[in-house]
Amino acid sequence: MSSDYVTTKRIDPDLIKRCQAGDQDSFRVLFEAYKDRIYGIAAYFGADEATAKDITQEVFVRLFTRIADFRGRSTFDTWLYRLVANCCMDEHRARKRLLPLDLIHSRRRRMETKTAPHEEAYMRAEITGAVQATVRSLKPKLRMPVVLRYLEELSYDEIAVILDCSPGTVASRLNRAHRALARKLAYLVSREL
Amino acid sequence: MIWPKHIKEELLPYWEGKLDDVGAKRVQKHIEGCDRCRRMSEETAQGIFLASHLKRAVTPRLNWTEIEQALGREPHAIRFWTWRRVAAASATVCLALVVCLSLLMRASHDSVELDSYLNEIEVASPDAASPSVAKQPEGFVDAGQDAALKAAGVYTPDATVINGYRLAEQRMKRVGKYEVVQLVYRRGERRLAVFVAPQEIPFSFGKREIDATTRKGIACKEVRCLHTSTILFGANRFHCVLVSKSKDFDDLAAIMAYFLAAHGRTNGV
Repeated sequence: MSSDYVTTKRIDPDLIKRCQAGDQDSFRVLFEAYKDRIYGIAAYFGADEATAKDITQEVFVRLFTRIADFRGRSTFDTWLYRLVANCCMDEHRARKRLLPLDLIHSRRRRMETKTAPHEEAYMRAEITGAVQATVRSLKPKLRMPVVLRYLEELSYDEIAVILDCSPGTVASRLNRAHRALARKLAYLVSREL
Repeated sequence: MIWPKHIKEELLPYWEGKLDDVGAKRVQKHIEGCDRCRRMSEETAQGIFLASHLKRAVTPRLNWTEIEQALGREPHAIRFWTWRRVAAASATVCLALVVCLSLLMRASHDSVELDSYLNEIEVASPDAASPSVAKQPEGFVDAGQDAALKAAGVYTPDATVINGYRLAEQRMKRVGKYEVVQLVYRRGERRLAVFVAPQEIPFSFGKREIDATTRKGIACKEVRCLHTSTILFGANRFHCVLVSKSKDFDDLAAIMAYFLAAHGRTNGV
């Protein structure tokens, strides 16, 4: 089966139907088409690569076990992104429950930040790495719109459907995320701009 | 200059180029004169600039086999849990059945049925001297005097003679882990029987009616029987059934009082 079934933004409805019928080959095509995109989002929600992989795997397991529920009321991408967003939020909640280890790491990170001057720490890092790290530190409700907007290049309306909120809320969260990024990476901006 | 309204909501569309020329110029003019909005505008622009650097993480080795395995585990897990649920439900139902059956069995076996015994006495002679009360009820077997009195909770040297009645026969029946005793007393030709059982073992009298009453100051219950006095009384750990062809309640009350005293000197059923 070729990957002609999947273009950048559109997916062949027949492929979905075959997946809904339980066709393993079609599942595989879908997996190959979306794995990078899903991992790309998951990477901003997993504590490390292994967790991001786990989230990606969970997304696909949920996708293939629930694909029969997809009725086509929204686009397949929107439906899938909603699944991804839910998995990411579930992971975040689970991580919050496993607080002690996470807390130790975050405290350590904070201590390291205190001991090493911001400029020195980030001078070594590329701007992309710094942005990625800062986006990861945003609250999940601010992080998800940023990832969907800048990584997946979705419109406010699409993000609103995925996150089940209004486009105005999406704009507001993005605005807050932008300003948070600017404040946290101010030294980087002044150097770059 | 004092601006009537800040333009916080318009900053994002402004920097994303979504405002028309008129709107863009209005925002620009506002920013030039409003420190607060200018600061926010700069932050928004910087944020957009930074966020546009967001890159997709390089996907590590993520192959289909892992997903297939995970998918394979999923239905298996469901089957496993379904099987477990079915097994658990079946076990619960079985346990419930066993408990119900055992309760039913216990209800039917863990009681002393005196209905048929009383039936035989009723059809016998109404004469107070009738030996019918000395009949051996079903399931009762002859027992030694000491063992019977001990099981009846009246193991005292004077228990063999009460109010002129002498202990003539004694029988026992095992009900579960308990012993039920039939003591037959005789005074001349008169006979009476006293059944003694632990409170855990009820007596059953078929469909006979039972009335609460008081005999010579002793609270008791009387089982309605033809030509027969059948009185249910008890104290503490034991309860007793006195069966006699006699209607001499002074006589019977003395027997009841003896057992009540022996069982704890507390009357009442």
